[in-house]
Amino acid sequence: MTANAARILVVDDGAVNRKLLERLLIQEGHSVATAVDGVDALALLAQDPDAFDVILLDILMPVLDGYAVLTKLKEDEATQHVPVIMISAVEDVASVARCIQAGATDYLVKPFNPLLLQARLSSSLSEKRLRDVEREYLRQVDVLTDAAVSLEEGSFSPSQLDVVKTRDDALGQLARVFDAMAREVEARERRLVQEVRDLQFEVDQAKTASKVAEITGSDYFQDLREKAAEMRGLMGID
Amino acid sequence: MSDDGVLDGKTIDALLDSLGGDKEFFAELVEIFLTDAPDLFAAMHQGIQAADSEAVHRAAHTLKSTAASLGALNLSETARTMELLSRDGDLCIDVEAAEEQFDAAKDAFGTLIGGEEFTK
Repeated sequence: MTANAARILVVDDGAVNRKLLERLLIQEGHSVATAVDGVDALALLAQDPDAFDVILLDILMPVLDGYAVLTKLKEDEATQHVPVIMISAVEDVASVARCIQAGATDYLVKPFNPLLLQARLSSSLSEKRLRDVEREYLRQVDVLTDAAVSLEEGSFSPSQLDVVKTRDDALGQLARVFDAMAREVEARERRLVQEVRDLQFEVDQAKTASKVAEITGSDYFQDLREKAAEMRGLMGID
Repeated sequence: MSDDGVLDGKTIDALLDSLGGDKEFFAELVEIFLTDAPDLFAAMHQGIQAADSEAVHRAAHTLKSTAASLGALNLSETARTMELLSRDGDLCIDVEAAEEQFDAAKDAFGTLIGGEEFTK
């Protein structure tokens, strides 16, 4: 596929138009999936809402028509960002207005001109790619926010920011600075824990020494020591 | 190229051009159309009998669109009239006239696709 190639879903109950669209799009380097009606199309999208860059949608179809499919796509958060180009032989202005109002990106009248199809497709794809960049940016802002929360909660993992850190824009710079500071805080915390442990050890040692001194300095201990010396003398042990 | 009023030569030439001159693929599309169209006429007859204008409208719409894509413009225009009437609930439409035009288109496609100029 070329750089401008897209994944396109063609929804049309007419076999001739479906096959013709599929062929023209493949000729342009796109990959194409087809659906024979609205229910078929929604089932495909339910499997993977991000599977397509553009949807070419017929209006008059049995079972579920293009208007209903368009409404469902635009109501669903998972699919509302996918551009939908209506491609229909319904040629009245009211129909065009209804589709644009419901969120369609564009409208092509059948029989369509292949050059016009390419132009409309190209415009929708550019728009979709810009929107994808924006969605990804916002997703990575969320990753950074989550990292800040997890740092506060003590569950921060440096790998959390791996994707954001590779960006070459301000957000990437912020992620790198945040990551460096988080690592510094973590290292400082580790050092503090070690220092506390060392101090604890010294305190414990001092306590033991004091206890030993207390015991060995007592009259009872001195008395015992003298008795032990006497016994060693009596037994001839030096 | 046929331009006898039944098939529009300019439309067919433009379609072939967009297909990179793939006549075999064009013939495949025509075959699908010739196979599917009788079902559309049957749906229209049934719709008229059942007073189901929506079914008639849908079938006429599909016929209009497909015939236009393949250059059968007379048939497409007749289908368009049936589409507009049925959309408004008027089922006094002449399906037989459209069927006659379809037969003429079928013959013209046969002549075109089997012709020496098309196959060379």
